Amino acid sequence: MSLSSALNVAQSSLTATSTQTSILSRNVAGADNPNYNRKAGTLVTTYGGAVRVASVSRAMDSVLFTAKLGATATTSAQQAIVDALDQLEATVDDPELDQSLAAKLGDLTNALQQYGVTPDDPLLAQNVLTKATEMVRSLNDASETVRTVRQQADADMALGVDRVNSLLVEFEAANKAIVKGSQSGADITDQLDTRDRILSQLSEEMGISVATRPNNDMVIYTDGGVTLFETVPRAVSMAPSFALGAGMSGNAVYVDGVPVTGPNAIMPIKSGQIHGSSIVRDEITVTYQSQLDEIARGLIEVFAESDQTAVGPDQAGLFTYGPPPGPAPIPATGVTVAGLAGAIRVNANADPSQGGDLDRLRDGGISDPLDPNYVYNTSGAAGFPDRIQALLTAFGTGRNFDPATGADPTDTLVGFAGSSVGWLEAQRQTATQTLGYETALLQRTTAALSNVTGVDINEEMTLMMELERSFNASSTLISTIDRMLEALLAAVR
Amino acid sequence: MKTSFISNYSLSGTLRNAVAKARESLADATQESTTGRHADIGLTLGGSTGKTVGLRDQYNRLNGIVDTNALVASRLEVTQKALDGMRDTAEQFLATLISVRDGDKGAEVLKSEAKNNLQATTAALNASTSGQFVFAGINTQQRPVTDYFGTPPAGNKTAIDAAFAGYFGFAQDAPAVANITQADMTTFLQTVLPAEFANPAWGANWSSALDQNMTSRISLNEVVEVSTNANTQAMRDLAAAYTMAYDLGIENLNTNAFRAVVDASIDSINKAILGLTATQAQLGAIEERVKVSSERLTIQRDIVVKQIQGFENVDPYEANVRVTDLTTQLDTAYALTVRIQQLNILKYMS
Repeated sequence: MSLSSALNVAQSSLTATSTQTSILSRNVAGADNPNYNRKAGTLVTTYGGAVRVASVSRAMDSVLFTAKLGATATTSAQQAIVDALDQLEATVDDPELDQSLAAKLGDLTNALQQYGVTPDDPLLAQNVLTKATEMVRSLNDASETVRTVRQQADADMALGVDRVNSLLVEFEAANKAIVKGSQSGADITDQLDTRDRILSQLSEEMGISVATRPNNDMVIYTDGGVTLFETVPRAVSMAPSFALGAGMSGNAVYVDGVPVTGPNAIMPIKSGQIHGSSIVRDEITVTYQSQLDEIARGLIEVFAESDQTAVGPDQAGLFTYGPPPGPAPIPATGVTVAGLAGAIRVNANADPSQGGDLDRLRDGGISDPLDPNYVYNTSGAAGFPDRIQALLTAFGTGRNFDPATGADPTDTLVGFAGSSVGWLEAQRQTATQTLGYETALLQRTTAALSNVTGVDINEEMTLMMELERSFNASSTLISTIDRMLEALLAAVR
Repeated sequence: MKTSFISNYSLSGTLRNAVAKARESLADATQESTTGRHADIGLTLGGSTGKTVGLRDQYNRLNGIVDTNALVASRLEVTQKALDGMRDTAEQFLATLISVRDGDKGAEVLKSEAKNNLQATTAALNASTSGQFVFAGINTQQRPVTDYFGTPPAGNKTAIDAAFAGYFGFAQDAPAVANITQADMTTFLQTVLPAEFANPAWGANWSSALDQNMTSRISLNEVVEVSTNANTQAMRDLAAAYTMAYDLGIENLNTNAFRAVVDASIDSINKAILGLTATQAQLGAIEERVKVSSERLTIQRDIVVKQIQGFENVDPYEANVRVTDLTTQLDTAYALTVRIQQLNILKYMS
């Protein structure tokens, strides 16, 4: 009965065309969704020449997708580093504005130079004190900025860990549905889109690599090789640090019980926001803080007062630290004292507003007014210039700094402060250039992936026209067959 | 099956990224062409930023020293003026002494001139500039020389009186003064009187100045003495010459003793004049050093400014060209966006 078979085929064509049209509508709807992959119906011919949509396939390029995951992770890491460096750069600002610590040191030196020419002028002594106070405030502020950036990085890491955990829960649901759907042969393309979206978001937080097992089951590893998800999510944890003082190290991130950040990491992660923030928290801010601490220590060293009878040890003069009353010892040279930049202050013994005496700037005896051995000006003459000149000489003398700080270890104090600026800006320049390169790579990869897997409405519309023609033709066929059957029945009647 | 290798998302994304990037660069280029400096010095220079920070510090430091050198120079000038005055007075006094010895003028003239000169010299040594006594050494807040004519009589006056009375047994205005022999007077002038102008009597009765002079840093590594003080031998000789002529009762002395005093005073004033000249020459040399140092520092400062500009400045012409280029690029991108929006098959479907 060939007419009814023709009718069958034409009718199957109508069904197949409708299904394809519905797939096409899904494509058009997802055209602007970066995580939507183009779907296509796979047609198969069945018994008697009829057609049907056997399955829905999904455009995918796993090589490009893996590249995109990698680029996303490295870009996020670099972005975290650049953001932190930009914040730290506030301690330097434009050199023209003279806001850097090196410039503040210069101000203090110039105030001393003026005071040295007229040591009996209390206004110039007050000026020295003002510049010294300014210097201390800058150091304290810079130290606070570094602490804030570090705390922020720690908080970002904690947030990243939370996000990874919630994404993994979401991933588990999607993965389960995919495995189930793959076994039953259902359309799982939308779940695959969801799963890929989750992977993209995961890679923003930490670098990952994936492996696919039978039934589309997926396993996720960190880029360091620790299992992040296998059938069920693995625990990712980090205890947030509530007070991250200078010299204190932050808590490590653990994946499945293995430390993946910090110096003790066995299988460290190499990219992602969490990695970038851990670099900021455990390396950049720590180094910069140690540079600030060394500047503070250098300052204490320059203004140290020595026992004029050469019996007692040197003591901290105009710049001091520690609990207020007693004289503070001079920290060992060339060794960082953690947190000194935050603890340094102007000695109250030189500040009239705190019961001190400005003349001690000229005469010495700031460290311990009760001990006459630390007074340089024994005659009490108002024009005594020796102490001030000695301070200026000390400013211009090279001294040793901790080589671990990464800045010039043998230089004058101002030179060291300048090389600290150079260190920070060099880091920032390199990081920003790398970020530019990574971003371009990410954009390229995303565009290439989108070109392969995304939707082009023009193409969909052209297909639509084809489908319309096919639908029209099938409909015409059906009505023609119907008329033929009618003619046949009329002849029989 | 997918037949094309383009997607709507990447098409619009590419343009969006290009526009964003161009706008960012345009903001920087505009800033650079108006300020003539890099938009973000730290980002452009990287590690070299430390160098410009160092250069700027050096610039400020050089400027500071040039400023203080001007102050030092003005102080030296005041000192030189005062020394000039003292030397002129001393030379006139020498002339008077010589004419008195030759008998052209009398003891009264000499005594009154000696008094005036001692007063003038004391005033000159107590000269101050902006609250600093320039001849006080580092003891700048104390008037260095005691006034000989103060009431009640000051330490220097009473000490001279006591020395005179101690040696001769009567005061300078006693009638017995006329009986002092030339030998006695000479011994007094040579053995007793000099002690009044030497330490410790000088420091106790005449001068509160300190021997240590003011020093100043006139270049980065050059610290020099930039003052003299009232304790130098020339000042003591000056005071001795005037005091002898004024306060040894010369109007009552016999001719021979009077001669001895005048000779001693001439001797003293001659030494003082030589000493003053030497001090002036020394200060003149320092003035020259300060001047030369300031000139050198100014030249250094100008070089530093050039170096800073070399690091931080951009070619304004280049920045302008960049602004123009970027504007064109943005125009093109916007025009393209509109065109691509119109390139749509929907327009041709009916």
